[in-house]
Amino acid sequence: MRTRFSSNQTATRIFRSPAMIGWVLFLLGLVANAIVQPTLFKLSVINSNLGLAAPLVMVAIGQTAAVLAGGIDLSVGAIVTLTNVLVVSLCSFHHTGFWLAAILGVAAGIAVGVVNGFIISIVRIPALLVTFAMMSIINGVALAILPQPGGQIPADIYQIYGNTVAGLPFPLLLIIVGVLLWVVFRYRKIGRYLIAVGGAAGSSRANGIPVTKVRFQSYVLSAMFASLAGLFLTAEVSSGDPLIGASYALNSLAAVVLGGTALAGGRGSVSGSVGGALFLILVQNIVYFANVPSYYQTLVSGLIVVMGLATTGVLYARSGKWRLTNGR
Amino acid sequence: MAFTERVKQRLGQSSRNSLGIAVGVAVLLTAVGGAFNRGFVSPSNLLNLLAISSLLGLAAAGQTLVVLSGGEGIDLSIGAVISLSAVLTSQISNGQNGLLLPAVVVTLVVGVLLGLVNGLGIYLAQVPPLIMTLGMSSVIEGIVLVYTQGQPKGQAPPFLAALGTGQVLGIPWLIIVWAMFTLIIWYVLKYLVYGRLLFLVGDNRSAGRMSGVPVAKLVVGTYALSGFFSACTGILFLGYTNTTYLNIGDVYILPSVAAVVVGGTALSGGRGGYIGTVVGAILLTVLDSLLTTLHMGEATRGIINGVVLLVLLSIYTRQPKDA
Repeated sequence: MRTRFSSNQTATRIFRSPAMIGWVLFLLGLVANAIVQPTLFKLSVINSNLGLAAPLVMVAIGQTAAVLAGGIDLSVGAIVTLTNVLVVSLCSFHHTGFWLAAILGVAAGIAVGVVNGFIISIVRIPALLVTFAMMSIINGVALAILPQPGGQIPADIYQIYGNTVAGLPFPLLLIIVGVLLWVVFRYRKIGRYLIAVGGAAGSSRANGIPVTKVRFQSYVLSAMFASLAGLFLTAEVSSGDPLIGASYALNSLAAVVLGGTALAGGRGSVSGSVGGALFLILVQNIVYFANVPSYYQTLVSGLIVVMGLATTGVLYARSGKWRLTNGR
Repeated sequence: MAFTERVKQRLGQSSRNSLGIAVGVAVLLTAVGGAFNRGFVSPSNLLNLLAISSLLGLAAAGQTLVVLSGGEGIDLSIGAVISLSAVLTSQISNGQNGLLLPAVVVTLVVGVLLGLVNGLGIYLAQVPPLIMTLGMSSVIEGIVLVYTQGQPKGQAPPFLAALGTGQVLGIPWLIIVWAMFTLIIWYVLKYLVYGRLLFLVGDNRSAGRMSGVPVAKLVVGTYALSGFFSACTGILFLGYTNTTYLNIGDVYILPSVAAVVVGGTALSGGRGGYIGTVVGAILLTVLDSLLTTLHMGEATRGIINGVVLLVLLSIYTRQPKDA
């Protein structure tokens, strides 16, 4: 690619970054939402929106790790569910303290990631199929743990979640912590390796990058973020439900793609995915507050998302040599 | 050493071998079912299993073509299209034979159009197939909600109900319909230009484009075909259950992908075929029915289904070491 040197090179770089699409969509969504819902910027409204968004943002961050490394993780929704039912049933039926239950719930989620990573990177079976089969298995386990929705977590936990700390919405702090957690990984060897492996596995291996290990780690990362999301979601809804995570696998993927990360791997960013996830939450809001008749809401939000995806795809294709997919 | 390597290679590469494995596993599962319960292997139950498989098999027909077309091809919208088709046919025909033909025509046209939208989004806007078809399924679910106002009305016309549940000479019509579809798809894939080009394009799109294959038309058309098969499945599903409710098609989304893969079609495209998918659909149906026969709860069924799938996959979708 030809490069023109100029003083606003940084601006060009930011503008050309694939994450831009996700953030532009987010800003458009924010403006549209503010128009239909004038109370959007009240602290309590921000708080409840972020409370809803935090779990999806976390899952999307984890999904980005898996996708960047050239894989995909369909089991994230099941991991969210597993953490939720485990924490809730430990708290309410086995009298475990919340924090112990939380640690066990997250550990169980990470264990799923370890199994995923092992089968995908060492047994070498396509990630799509492995995580799909794991989804079925883990959903079954969750259903065995908690056959019906119910149970409750201690009241002070979900009160903290819906509250503000030092004037800032608590969920916002959680999102910031999540992003920081990612930044820690991104700028260490593992982050660079993820992108290298996703971009060109063969060359990475030739250059001494432990490809198998990196692939393995990407699924552990993805599962870790998903189980943290399960924890946040548990704090948000305060009870357990064996089907609670069903929508997260696919929504997280949509967030990743809307954020300009290529499903083919090797190119993209977590910040874009965060923008994409927030956009998806805003779409639900907009459709609700724009007084779209209830039967039309699914259709309208679906259409907005598909148009967002098509825009992302077209912009990506026109931006030069990069593509969202190997599909052509 | 050399021998095991060779065996591994053949297991990994030849779709004919994975077909053999799938057939073997299906027979084994049936035998296990028979050992627990004699009724499981009675001719009537076996025919019934085949009839149930036919719905999954038809849903997986479009999936097979889409996966064969390559470019990470997959169609997750088939569940939503099946639901919409069942609802459309049921509401338009309103249980009357006379209205069945227009209902079927409208349903098939809608199915093809939705498939076309998928194909255009995937090929022209370059949205990854997984995400495009997923986004479309929420749009289609939205259409179902708007069209039914949350409550599907009508029922299957008697003719369709007879096709879905009736028998001829002791053989369910569904099986006969499925056999016809299978024959046609097999013939198209093996002998017609479309089928041969599908394999070429699925294996290597650039090569296809350079040799003058109309790749765009072929790929978009394949997604349209998938919409067509999903519509057929929805219509027959209505005949089988006689009535319909929202999201009936959802149960077919991932099993259709599983049937394709278990049948030995490579997810990377260009290798495989529909006969494998037929066996895959039967295998998955027998497995599910076996677990039900053994009085396993939903939770256990999910776990065992997943484990069996993992084991089958690890037998024949292992990737070469330096991928």
